[in-house]
Amino acid sequence: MDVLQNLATGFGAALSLNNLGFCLLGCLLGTLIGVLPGIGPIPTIAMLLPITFGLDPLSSLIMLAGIYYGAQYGGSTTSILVNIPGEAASIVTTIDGHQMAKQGRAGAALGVAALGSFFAGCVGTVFIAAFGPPLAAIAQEFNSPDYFSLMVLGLVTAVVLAHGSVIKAIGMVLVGLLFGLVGTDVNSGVTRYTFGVEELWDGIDFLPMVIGMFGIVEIVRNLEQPELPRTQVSTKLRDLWPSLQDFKESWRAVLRGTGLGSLLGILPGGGAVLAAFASYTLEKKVAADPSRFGKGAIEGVAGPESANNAAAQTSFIPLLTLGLPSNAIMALMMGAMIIQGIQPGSAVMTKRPDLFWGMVASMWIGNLMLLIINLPLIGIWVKLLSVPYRLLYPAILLFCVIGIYATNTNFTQIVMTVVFAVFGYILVKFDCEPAPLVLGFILGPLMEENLRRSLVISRGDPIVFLERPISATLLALTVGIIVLIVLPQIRKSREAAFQE
Amino acid sequence: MLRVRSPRDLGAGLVFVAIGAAGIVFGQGLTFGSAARMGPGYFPTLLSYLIIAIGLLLAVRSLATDGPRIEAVSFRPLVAIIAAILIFGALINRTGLALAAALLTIVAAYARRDVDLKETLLLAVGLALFTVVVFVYGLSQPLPAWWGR
Repeated sequence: MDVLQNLATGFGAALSLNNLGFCLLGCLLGTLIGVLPGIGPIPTIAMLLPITFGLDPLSSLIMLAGIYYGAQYGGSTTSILVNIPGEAASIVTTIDGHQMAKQGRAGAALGVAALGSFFAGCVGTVFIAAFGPPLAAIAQEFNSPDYFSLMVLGLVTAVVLAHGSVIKAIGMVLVGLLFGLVGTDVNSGVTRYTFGVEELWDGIDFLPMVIGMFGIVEIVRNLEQPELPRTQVSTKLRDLWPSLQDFKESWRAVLRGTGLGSLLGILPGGGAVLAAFASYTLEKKVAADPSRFGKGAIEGVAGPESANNAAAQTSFIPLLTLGLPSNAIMALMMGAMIIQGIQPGSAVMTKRPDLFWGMVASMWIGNLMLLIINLPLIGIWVKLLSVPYRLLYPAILLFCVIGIYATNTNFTQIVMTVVFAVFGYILVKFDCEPAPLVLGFILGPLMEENLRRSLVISRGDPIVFLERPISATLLALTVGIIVLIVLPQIRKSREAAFQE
Repeated sequence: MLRVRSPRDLGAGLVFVAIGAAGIVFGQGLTFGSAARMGPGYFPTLLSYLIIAIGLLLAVRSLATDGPRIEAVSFRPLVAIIAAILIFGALINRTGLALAAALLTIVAAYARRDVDLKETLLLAVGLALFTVVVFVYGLSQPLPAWWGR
């Protein structure tokens, strides 16, 4: 079997002492930032990008991936014990998880969350191994028009599934695409929108933009709001193992959450946050007695916690096979790969199989590590929660700034960070989420290049996008999605899903 | 009489229109070309017009549908955090990471009211030592530890 042989290669690469170390480091960091409210995986990965420069590509990807799925584990701890989501994907877990903790069932909630996450993580990994190669094979058939249509589809789906207003998200994607074009045009050698600033010749730097718009804005926003009183439930965490009754009540929810999460993770624009919300809605719909939800229903913890972890894994599929990041975190991972000189896409699997399979293997290893990190060591993480935000944010800020400065020891980088922080702050005040902008930014140059090539082939006739079957199918899907959001009924249910 | 009913939409719309307009104005010197032979100005100009269209749509909608008010800007955290970043950037090459890190911590602490000075100073010293050990010695990042270059 090809897959088995590939997996063996992958485990061989991932099980080296070095890579095991980076996997553990990523998982520990992920759990840490997952537990701590006020810092999520996006700024953390952005902050660590500069450090990965010196690493081997596989090690750096293993570590960065560990942060993302590790955060899904850690986030549940805070949600359940303190009623504050440690991480955006754990918001729904607060609803029933904290109620369970109040009823003295914190151990069961934490146990089910961790075991469900582990199960979902394993299934997600199998998903990547199973669907990665066929998708990459399809991607080999792709031509410029197909890639262009694929990016249109990806961006439209990302916009539809994003939080908040669809029109604003479209605007942010377009602005991101425009920002992505700043710098020297590869075809003509002309510099665009550089305003005489030499540092812009190579384009807007990714790190100052991401750290400014996510990391710094996040800190300022947290400081604006009065610090929430943390009502910590002090429970004895001796019996973390859920009872047989708990298992009986939750295994179906774990299965449903895993399935839903795996599917939503693959969708462009999907990801952990969406999966958790969708799973909670689903659990409430299929429950015999929906009124139990909000009062400590174990399915309300088991489903979303499994879903967010499954989605965190499978959202790597479009990036690794098609070279298309489906959300802001994947855009960061793509940035990390490009920094290492690897163009993400189907070629990764054929040219660097150790990289693809090594990552797949490391995810399974990482999930096992996380189970150990989270269940027996939970007391340590809970202690960390007593660190107040006033001591935390100067440290986060400092790490952000050191990260930027260490990459490129240049004051301009610092100024750029401030510019993007102010820009991001203004946009957030107007309800514009920064995530679609980052997605557009990463895709800007790729989209222009594929559009240019397509139109050169067709001598300027846009019909080329409809003549090729792959491209036409992708565009038809795009139109289908647009029609769906225009239908008011669907829009309503989407809003309802996000409000719950 | 026109009345702004959704100020956040209007704000976002104006930002988009401004960005799109800037894209067109500053992209004027770029060759537009034709669809078959796209010049460097083709795609950016196209995007800029789309951004303006979205901006105008939002602005019109802000007159038609109700929306929440714009949250007040609290300048204290914004100014303190930005000042902390800039001070760090200006100092690091002159005074080294340790002092720059300590100053960033102290200035950033004033983003909140009622600062506990003793606690802040302790945190500043702790973070300065920690970052020097981790980033300069541990991760060998190209930063001066104690003095400038």
